[in-house]
Amino acid sequence: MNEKNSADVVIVGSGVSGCLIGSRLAAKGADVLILEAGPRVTRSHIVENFRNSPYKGDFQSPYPPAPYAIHPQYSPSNNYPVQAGPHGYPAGYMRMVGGTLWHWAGMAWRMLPSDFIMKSKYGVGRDWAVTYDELEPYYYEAEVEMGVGGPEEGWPAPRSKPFPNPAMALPSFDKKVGDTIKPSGYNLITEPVARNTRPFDGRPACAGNSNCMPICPIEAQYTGETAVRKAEKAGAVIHENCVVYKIEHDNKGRISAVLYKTPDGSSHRVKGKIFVLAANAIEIPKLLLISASSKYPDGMANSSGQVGRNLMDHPGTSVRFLSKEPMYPGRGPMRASCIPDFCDGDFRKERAAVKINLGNYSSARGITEYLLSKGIYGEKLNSMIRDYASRWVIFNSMFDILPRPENRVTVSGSFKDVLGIPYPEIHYSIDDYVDKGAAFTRGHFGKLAEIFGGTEIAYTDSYMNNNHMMGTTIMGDDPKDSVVDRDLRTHDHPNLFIASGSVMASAGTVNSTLTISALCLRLADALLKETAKG
Amino acid sequence: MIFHKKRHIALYGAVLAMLVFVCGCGKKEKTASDTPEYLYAAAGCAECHSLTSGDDDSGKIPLNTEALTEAQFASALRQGKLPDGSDMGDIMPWKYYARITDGDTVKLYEYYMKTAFPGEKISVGGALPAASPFKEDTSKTPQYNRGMYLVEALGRCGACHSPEEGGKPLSGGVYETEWTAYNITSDPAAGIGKWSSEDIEKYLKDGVVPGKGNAISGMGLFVEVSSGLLSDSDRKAVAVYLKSAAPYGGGEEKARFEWGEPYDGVNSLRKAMVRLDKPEDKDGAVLYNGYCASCHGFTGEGNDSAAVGGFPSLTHNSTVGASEPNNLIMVILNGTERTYGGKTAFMPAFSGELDDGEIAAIASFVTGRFGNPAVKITPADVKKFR
Ligand SMILES: Cc1cc2nc3c(=O)[nH]c(=O)nc-3n(C[C@H](O)[C@H](O)[C@H](O)COP(=O)(O)OP(=O)(O)OC[C@H]3O[C@@H](n4cnc5c(N)ncnc54)[C@H](O)[C@@H]3O)c2cc1C
Repeated sequence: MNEKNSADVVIVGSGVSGCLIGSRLAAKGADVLILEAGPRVTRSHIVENFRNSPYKGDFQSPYPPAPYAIHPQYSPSNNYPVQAGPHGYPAGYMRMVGGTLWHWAGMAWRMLPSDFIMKSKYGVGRDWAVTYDELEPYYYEAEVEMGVGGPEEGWPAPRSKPFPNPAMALPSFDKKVGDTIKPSGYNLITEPVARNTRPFDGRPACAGNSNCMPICPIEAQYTGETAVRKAEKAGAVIHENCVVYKIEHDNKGRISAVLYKTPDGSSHRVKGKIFVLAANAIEIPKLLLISASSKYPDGMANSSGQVGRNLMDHPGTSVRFLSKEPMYPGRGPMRASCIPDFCDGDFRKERAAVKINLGNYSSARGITEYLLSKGIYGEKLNSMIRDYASRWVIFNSMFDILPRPENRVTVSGSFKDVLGIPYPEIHYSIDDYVDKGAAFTRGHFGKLAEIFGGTEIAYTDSYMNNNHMMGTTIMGDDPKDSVVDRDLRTHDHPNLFIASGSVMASAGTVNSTLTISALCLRLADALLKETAKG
Repeated sequence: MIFHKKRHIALYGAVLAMLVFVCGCGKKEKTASDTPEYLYAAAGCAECHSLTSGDDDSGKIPLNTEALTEAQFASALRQGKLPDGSDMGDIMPWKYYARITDGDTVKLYEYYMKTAFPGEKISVGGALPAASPFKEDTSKTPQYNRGMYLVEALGRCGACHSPEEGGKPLSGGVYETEWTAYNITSDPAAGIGKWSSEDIEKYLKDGVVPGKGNAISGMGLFVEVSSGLLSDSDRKAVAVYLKSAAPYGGGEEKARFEWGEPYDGVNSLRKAMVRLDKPEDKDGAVLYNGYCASCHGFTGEGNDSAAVGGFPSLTHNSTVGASEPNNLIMVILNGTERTYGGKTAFMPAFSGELDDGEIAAIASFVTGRFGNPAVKITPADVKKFR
């Protein structure tokens, strides 16, 4: 069906990870083929789906998946991935050309240098096999690629060069909140964002549709479609509707081909010299595990037994209250600022660090539901919606969970998709390292509510996912307890590389994508040298 | 009336479309209207040239690497001839510049030398090639005559806005596969006869007149580097002259800006979601809503449309109401980016994202509702402009 059935570099997955690598390699003349499980989709399709969706709060909703490349759905749930508990891990990701970046929120953070040395500095978790300093130039390259704008001050991750774009102008809500909490000793800083603060790279500046998730309707945000367009322009070939289900090896352990199925169920083989898995931290371990062979009965790249393990996210709790004074949330980007005060420190020996985020959400819908549930109707309902919507304040949090082997992705024994490929299954629990961080944070939530004279305070203590899937093919120097080395090469197969949050050895407190992108750009550099060698 | 002119040499408009936007230094303070700087702005030189000698990365037409003598400079301006005797062609509006007075030509030379070749010896002397003397109309006010000088000489409006030689002045330059420079005569329907003097002045100043039009592409650039930098009194003089320019029309029904109704059908578009692997509707209204409405509004009435850098209303908008869809197709394909007074008006290019059929569907929906419904755009029309 597809004409191209071999390439020098074969990449599985056309999300930002696959596209960044494909784009850098193809720009230098390399022969790149990206195999993508899902279909090609246009922005208008998603925007209209969003408008048509009755489930506006569910960011997966406007992306009803192709049956041959299903991804998580929650309204209603499609049981993908299978949740084995004890805690739920309701992942959010998409299988389509461009991947999950279609509906991120554009928060583009650098992790802190300490995040890379958790074990040696704080005696918990793991150290990365690369340092912050090694990644720094690639962080900057990723910021330029995405047009990140951010504040020069307030976040202790050293920078060699200023942000390529100016920081976003804070919505009046965020400004007001910042001014209100400052006297009590809290800092509120502007989030660095891959959302244009001025026309950049042919894309417009943010126009305040306040719809970053689930879809920026004007591509002011660097999104999956941006990454795809740039990769294809650079010469990378993307084949959609190719669901990779097996990685083949030769008798020396080198990867020789990957096999994919098309929607009609037929199988195809693609040969290559170098293979890069960029199918995200849930689908990559699944693919490695289902590719088991007689030589590798526990799955590919899994001599350490760590494939699928050390699953992380940023578990989050939240508080919501009615401020005494109107604050007017919900105009401009959905997230614009955060409290960085508890992201690092000696306390990390004992409890999880936390980033507290301010949500600039338009909550009219949630407020309406809340008031209706209290039996309020008619004219009173209307005026209360107006009043509440101006005073509804939400803080949420992201905790630094540690990589623990028992948190893992496995292959479901009972559920298979229409192509006969098993579902991933998730085993997840949150330990007291995070619980202690959450207790600490709840104290601050209470103080914050008090500063605003908050009433109708509601805490959400059950952990929410933040869709930053990490850890499941963890990096390390020791092949016995890690899956990839510092160059993201699998310890077991010299021509198999992994580009994903799955290689991250700690979660830190910040959104993962800029770090993933920096890792990918670093990998692309290494692969250029590799392909030059021939 | 529609004039089609095909030119075999590079089209002025084509070059404008290719020009890379170079950030202007914001609005200058009013300068006295006869300084070299002011004349340089009034002649709009920066539309095509950056005043660095030789090639730079601005994408603009490079100057000769060697400084011209005063006589050579005047010959370039008045005869379109380079020192080696070769012709620049119509891309250099020398027929208009030939009307610039000797005094102003000398000042332009001064500015050229000072900026492009600072410190180099100015070589003056020798006879300038004759100007095509500019005849003042003594029966009219000095303001009218100043306007005429700005329109017909320095600002060379006709280089884009007049049909080919012998045609009716300022009655519009329509290029088959390029931007249209509209009829700007005083004809109430075909031209801008229904624009007030204040409208014209505002348009020249910041490129936005709500309910009438937005300067994009070449005109946008002109506002940026030329008309926006003029003095209020000079813009007024231009308006006075244009308002009395001979009307030429072809019996158009309405002025370009008079067309259009807000769209009220958005609720009728709501339906079940479409699975990712199924084709989404390619209906013009659906595509308009998906790609355009987040800036131009569900109703098409824009957002903050009166502001420089706001999102224009598509109803009562010259680009949409024109009887030639050129500019509508061009702006959808190529987008536009212009800065007026530090504010940027930006629209992304859709040429990579949308195919001919999709653009035709969107453009036809837009003219059908927000413009002149008689104007229909086919995929073949769009293809011509790629
Ligand atoms: C609602 C939401 C908000 C977010 N906000 C932020 C944020 O503000 N900041 C931030 O840093 N991060 C954010 N994220 C996370 C961010 O979206 C991801 O980190 C990023 O998209 C990961 O990119 P990726 O290319 O590694 O993986 P993906 O984008 O998931 O791409 C993987 C690709 O592989 C393909 N694939 C999977 N299986 C196969 C197979 N078997 N064969 C072939 N192809 C396959 C998939 O179809 C997909 O296209 C958010 C995520 C969500 C869900």
